Amino acid sequence: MQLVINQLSKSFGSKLIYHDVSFTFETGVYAIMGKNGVGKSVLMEMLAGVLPQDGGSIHLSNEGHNSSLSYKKKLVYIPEAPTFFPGATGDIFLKFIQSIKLNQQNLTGMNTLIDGFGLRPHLYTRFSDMSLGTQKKLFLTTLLIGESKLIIMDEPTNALDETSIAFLVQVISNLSKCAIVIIATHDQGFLEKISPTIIKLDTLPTRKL
Amino acid sequence: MIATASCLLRLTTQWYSHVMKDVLLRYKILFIFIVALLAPTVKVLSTVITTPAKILLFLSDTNTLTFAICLLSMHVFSLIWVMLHKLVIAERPWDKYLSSLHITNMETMLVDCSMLLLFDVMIWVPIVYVCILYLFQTANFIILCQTIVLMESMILIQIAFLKQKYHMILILFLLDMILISLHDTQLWYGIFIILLMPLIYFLLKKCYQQDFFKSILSKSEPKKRNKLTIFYSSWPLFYLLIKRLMENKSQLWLVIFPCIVVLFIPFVMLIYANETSNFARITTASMIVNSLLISNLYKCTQINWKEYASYTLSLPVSFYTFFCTSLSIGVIFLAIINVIFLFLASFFVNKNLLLQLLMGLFLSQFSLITMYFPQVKCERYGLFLSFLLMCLFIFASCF
Repeated sequence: MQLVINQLSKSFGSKLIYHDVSFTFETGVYAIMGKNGVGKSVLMEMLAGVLPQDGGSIHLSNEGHNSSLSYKKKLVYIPEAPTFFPGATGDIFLKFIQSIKLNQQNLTGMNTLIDGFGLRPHLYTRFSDMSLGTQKKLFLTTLLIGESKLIIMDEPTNALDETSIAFLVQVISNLSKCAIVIIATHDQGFLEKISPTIIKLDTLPTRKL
Repeated sequence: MIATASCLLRLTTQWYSHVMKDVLLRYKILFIFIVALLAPTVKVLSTVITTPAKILLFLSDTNTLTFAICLLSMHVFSLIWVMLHKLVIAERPWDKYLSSLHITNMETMLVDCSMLLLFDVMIWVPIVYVCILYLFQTANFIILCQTIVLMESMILIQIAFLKQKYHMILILFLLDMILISLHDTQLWYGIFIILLMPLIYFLLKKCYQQDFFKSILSKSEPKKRNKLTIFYSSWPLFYLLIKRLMENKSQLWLVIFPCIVVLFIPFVMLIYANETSNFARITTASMIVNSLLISNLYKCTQINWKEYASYTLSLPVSFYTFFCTSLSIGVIFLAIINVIFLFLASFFVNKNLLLQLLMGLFLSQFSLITMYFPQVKCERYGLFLSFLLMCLFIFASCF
């Protein structure tokens, strides 16, 4: 399994963020690091297909490019700031993700995460009434819905308690054996536990990975 | 059995009143306002309430089509009514614990049916009221059987929905078709009604039994997914989009209220002016105008979905899934408004006129479907293009 970035470019107006960037990710854990404002979240959003790139391509082997449905079926994206329909309960959110990933049979993984993150009491709480940490955990529960081959996480430990972080470390360790896990984070303690391949983003005017 | 059932019933009623108290209080004020508005027309109000019951119990002169509309409307309304209460009735937080206790199917059925009879008061009270009123006058045993069958069928359709035994709903609609076809034959209708009483009870009991074959099949390989399954599996998306629309009440009312006003015009023409010569054309045109108003919901669902694009764009939601879901929302809203109008109009018009109105309804649904792409893809020209489509449909239907 490979995620290939080929001649990626992105700019916002006159501000160049990425220019002619190429890289290949293999199965395992990667940590994207860099100063604030250097473009970590922009890269994560492009990899998740949320933000279209100006030039170049992002391609997951056997699944297609980052705007295709087959790519997104294998993708799990955990944004930095979880955002969803405010009236949706946790239960509805998970059912929705199951329905679009066409996975209504194998719920063991999802249930393990629900119990591991202590989410059972919050499944019938509206999204807008949940704390940031609970919202984050709810999104993290989607890690084991469907066949996840590419996992993009932007500051996954933000607002999480120590127990949940420890549990997340276990989950990532298991997932990294069969998926590409890319994490953008400042959390040094978390990085030490997951032992990723570190990728440091260079300074302006171009980013090289 | 009675002790367990009554205990469960008491607890469930308490739960229902606790959850629905605020909702009902909110709508009480609206209800009082509507009744106050309609107070000067008490005769119309009582006609609207009791006429369907009289039609269903064969106590007023009616044709087969009106009977069919009344019967199907009652079942559809029962279904919609239970959908609104589904969370309270069927998705209680302690249901899983209850299922681990030794509570028989009969006890559960007794509790559920009692609860539903409580919720459905506004549906069955007019029927029972009319039945009691006329039972002693006409001494017709069949009226009593009909009342029982109507109430049983209402409960059956709701239980079938709650227990997700959707094939029971199809069976019931099939039985409805047979009833409608026997409408003009008194003897066969009477025999069929007497047979229906135990049959519907049997179907009700079936809803509470685990499907023997399904329990075997579930141990085998997972079912292969086909296109229909994919379509049904998009109900959470449908639920999310509808819920988001409902949360923005002012936006929703801005769309629905004009629809009601537009349909009010032909209705007033019919009741007070007794105008029937151009009634069908004006009603069809009104329904098509409503399709333009409802088509604005397409844009609303699109905007609501894009509001969370920073996450939703990473999800594998295909264009086809979103298109079908968004389209169904528009079609359902328009259908509900038009069908309610059709139902009320059926008391005042003859069969031929009713058929013309039905054609108008289908035409309005079709025009709504054609307005999807202009509204969603054509940005600021969407409304103008949809308006042109509306004019085209009105011209084609009326001239």
